[in-house]
Amino acid sequence: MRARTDLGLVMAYALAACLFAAVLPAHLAVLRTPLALPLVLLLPGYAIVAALFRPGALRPAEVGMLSLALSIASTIFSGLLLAAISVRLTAPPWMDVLAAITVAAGVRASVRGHGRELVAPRVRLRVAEAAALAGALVLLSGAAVLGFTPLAPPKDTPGTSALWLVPAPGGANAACVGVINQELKTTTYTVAVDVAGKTAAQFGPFTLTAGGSWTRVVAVKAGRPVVTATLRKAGSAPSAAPYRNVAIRNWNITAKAC
Amino acid sequence: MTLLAEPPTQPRQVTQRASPVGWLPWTMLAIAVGLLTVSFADALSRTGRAGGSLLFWLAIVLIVLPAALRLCSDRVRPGERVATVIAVGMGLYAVKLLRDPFAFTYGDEFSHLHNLQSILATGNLFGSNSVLPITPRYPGLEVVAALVSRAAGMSAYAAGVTTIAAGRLLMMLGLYTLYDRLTGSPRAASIGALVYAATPNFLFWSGQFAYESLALPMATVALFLAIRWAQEHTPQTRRSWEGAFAIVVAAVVVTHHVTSYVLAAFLLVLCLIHWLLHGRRGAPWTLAATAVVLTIIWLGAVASGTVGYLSPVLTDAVNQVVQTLTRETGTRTLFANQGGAEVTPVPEIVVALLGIVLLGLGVLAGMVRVWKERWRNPMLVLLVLCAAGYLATLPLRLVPDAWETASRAGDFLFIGVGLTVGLGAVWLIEQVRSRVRLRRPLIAAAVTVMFASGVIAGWPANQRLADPRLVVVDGRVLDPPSVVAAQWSGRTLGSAQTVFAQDADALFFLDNGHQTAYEGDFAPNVQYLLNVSKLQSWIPGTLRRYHVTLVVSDRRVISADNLFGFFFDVGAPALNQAAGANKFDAPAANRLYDSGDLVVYGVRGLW
Repeated sequence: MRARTDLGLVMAYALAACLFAAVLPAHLAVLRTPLALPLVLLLPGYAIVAALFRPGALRPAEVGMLSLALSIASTIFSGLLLAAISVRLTAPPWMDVLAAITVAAGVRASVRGHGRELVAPRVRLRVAEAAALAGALVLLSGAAVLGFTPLAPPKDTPGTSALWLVPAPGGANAACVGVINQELKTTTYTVAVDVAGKTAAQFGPFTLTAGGSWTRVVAVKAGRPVVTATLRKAGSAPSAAPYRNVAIRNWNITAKAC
Repeated sequence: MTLLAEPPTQPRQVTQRASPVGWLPWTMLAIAVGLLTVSFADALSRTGRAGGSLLFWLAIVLIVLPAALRLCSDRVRPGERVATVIAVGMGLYAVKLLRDPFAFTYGDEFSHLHNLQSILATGNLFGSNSVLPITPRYPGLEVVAALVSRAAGMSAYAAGVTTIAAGRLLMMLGLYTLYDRLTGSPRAASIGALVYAATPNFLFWSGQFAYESLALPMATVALFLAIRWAQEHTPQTRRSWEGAFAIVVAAVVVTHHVTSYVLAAFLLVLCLIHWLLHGRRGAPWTLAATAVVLTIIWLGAVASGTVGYLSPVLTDAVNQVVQTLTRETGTRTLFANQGGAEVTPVPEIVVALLGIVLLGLGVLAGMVRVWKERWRNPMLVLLVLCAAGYLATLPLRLVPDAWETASRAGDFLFIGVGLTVGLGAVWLIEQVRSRVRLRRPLIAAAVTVMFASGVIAGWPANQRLADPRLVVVDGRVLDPPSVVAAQWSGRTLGSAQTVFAQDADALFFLDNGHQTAYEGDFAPNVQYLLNVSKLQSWIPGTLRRYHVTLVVSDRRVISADNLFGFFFDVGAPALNQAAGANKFDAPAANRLYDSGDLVVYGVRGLW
C-alpha cells in the first residue's frame, strides 16, 4: 500500500472521525460536523467505489455520485444491522461500523491496486472570477443571516393568553395553575381559583413580558372537589366575563410537573 | 443491451485561453443574488409586508436563466456543466429552506420528524406513528438523519435538512450522469437535468423531509448503474455493477414503498423492451429480479401494512377517473388552493400554460430526434415513452381524487421528460443554427418558462413565501399558540397522552408535545368528531376505543389546513361554530388549558 494515496487519506480520516467523535462533547456541532459528515455521507462509499471499480472506469462526477449513494446505503444498512442485533443506535458503535466498512473496502481497493496518488488540484482563478466567487459567498451569507433570523410579527397578528389548571403531581391535595403570555406585548393579569364554588385563592395583579409564564400550586381540600380558575387582564371590568377559564371536574389526570 | 448511438462529445472550441472554470463564478454569483432576493422576499412576507411575490419571481429567473443560457452553449467543459447543474439544484433547495428556516412545516415532514425523534430518543427502529403508521416501516431516511444528528451533534431539524440536501445533490448528479451515459452528450445531459427541475413538485414538495425525497435520487442512481451494467460485456466486469446496484436498490426498498415499486416495474418493462428490440439475451433480467425480490421480501417481512395503506389511494383515484369520464362527478378546479378557491393570478396562469406547451414541444422534438436517428437503446426508448406518459397524465389533474396520484407519478415520469427535452433542445439548437441567431437564448428562456410553469402548477401562489413561524417580541423568540399548547402538554402532563385534534394541531402535539395524536377524516374520523355540534352518544365509545385522554378543540378553520395551519395567524382568523368547540364542556370532562380559540379538554371521564 502506498502511503500517500487517496485511499490512505480516506481511511485515516475515517479513523480520526471515530476517535474525535468519541472524545468531543455530543453537542459541539461546530467541531463534530466537519469530522462526522464525511464519514456518514462520503468516505464509506468512496472506499467501496474504489474496491469495486478500476481507476478510470468512472468519470469524476460518477465517482462523486456513487460515493454519496453508497455511503448513504452503508449508513442505512449499518443502522439496520445494529438494530437487528439489538444495539442501540448511538454515535460510537454506528460510526465505528462505518469506519470499519471504510477501512475494509479501502484495504481491498489498495490490494487491487486501485489507490491513486494524492495530487492537490490546481485551479488558477482570474481576479474577476475570484471576486465573483467571493461576492457570491458574501451574498449567500447575507441571505442566510436574513433568512434564519426570526423577525417581528406582522402588525395584525392577534395575541392571546393561556390559562391552565391540572391536579398537582404525586396525588397531593393540590392543583397547579399557570398562565402563559402570548399577547405579543407585556400584559398584567389577575387569577382567581375557586374550590367547590368558593374562592380559595386570588393572585395578582402580576405582569408578564411577552412569552413569559407564571405558575402556582393551590392547596385543595380532600375529597377531590371541583376546582375552577379564571384569568382576567388588568383593566377589565369586574362584571365582565373572565378572559379565560379552566376547570378540574374529574381528578383522573395528573400533572408530571407544574 | 445495445448501446448508444452517439459518442461522447467534447465541447467545441474550448480554447487554451478559456478559463478552466468558465462562467461558473458568474453563474454562482447570479444564484447568490437570487437567493438574497428570495430571502428578502421571505422576510417581507414573514413581517406581513407586500411585494414579495415579484421578488420571488425575479429570484427564480436569476437562479435558472443564467445557468440555462450557459448550459445551452456548446463551449462548456463537462466539469462546469456538472457544477452548474449542482449549483442550480442546491440553490433551488435553498429557496425551500428559506421558506421554512426554523422548523418543518409540511404535513408529511411532521410524521418523519416524529420517527426521527423516536430513533434519537430510544435508539431503536420501527417505532409507532399514529398519523402515518406505515412510515416507521420504511426507516431509510430517518436512519441517515439519525446518524447525522448523533455523529455531528446537530438538532433533528438540522440533521433532516442536511440529509435532504444530500438527497438533492444526489438527484442532480444522478440525473446528469444518467443522461450523459444515455445520450453521450454532456450538453443534452445538463439541459435535461435542468429541465427535470421543472417538475411541479421539485421546488417545494420534493425538498421536504420525507422518504421519497431520498428514495427517488437513490432510484436514479440505480438507473445509472443499470446503464453502466449494460455497457459491460463480460460477467466478471458486470459483477461489480451488479453488486453496487443491489446495494443501492436495497437502500431504495427500505426507504420508500412507491419508489421501490416503480423502480421494479421500470426494470421489468425495460427487460421487455430489450426483448422486443434486441431479443431476450442481454436484457437486465438479473437487475430486475434483484429489485423485485428485495421489494417483495421487505413488503412481506417488515412492511405488510403497505398494501392496506396504498390501496385506498389508488382505488379512489381509479374510481374518480371513471366517475369523471362518465360525468358522475365534476372536474377539479385548476390553479386553486385546497379549498377549491382560485388563487393564482392570471399572468401566472398564462405562464403555466405556456410552459406546458413548451414542454410538450420539447418532448415532441426529442421524440422526433430519437425516431429520426433510430436510437434503439432500451432505456432511452423507455424514458422517452415515460415523457409521453407524463403528457398523457396531465388531464388527470382535472380529476379530484386522481390529481395527487398524477402529481406523484409526475416525479418519476419527469425523468423521461428531462431526457427527451434535453435531446430535443440540443437538436433544435443544431437544426436551426444558421437560421435563428438567438436560438440559445430562446431555448434558455423556454427552459426558464418551463420551470416557472412547474412552480405555478406545483404550489399555490399564496404559499410560496415564508409565513411567520417564529417571531421576536421584546427580544424573546415566540412560537405560535398551537405549538405552545403542544409543548405545555408534554411538559406538564408527560408524553403518554393520546390526543384527538385538527390536522395541524395534531402534528404539533405529535412532534412538539411527543404525544400519540390522531387527526384527519379516516379511521378514526377525528374531523367529524370535532366539528359535530353536540356531544353525541357515539363519541364516548370512539374516545374509549382509541384510549383518548385529551381532545384539542380549535375553532380556527385554519387548524384543519395541512399547509397553512402551522404559523401565527395574521388578522382575525375565520372561526368554526362555537357549539362544536364547546361541546366537551361536560360535567365528566376537564377543561385543562384555555388560550381562547384553542382549548384542551381532559376526556378520560367521558369513557
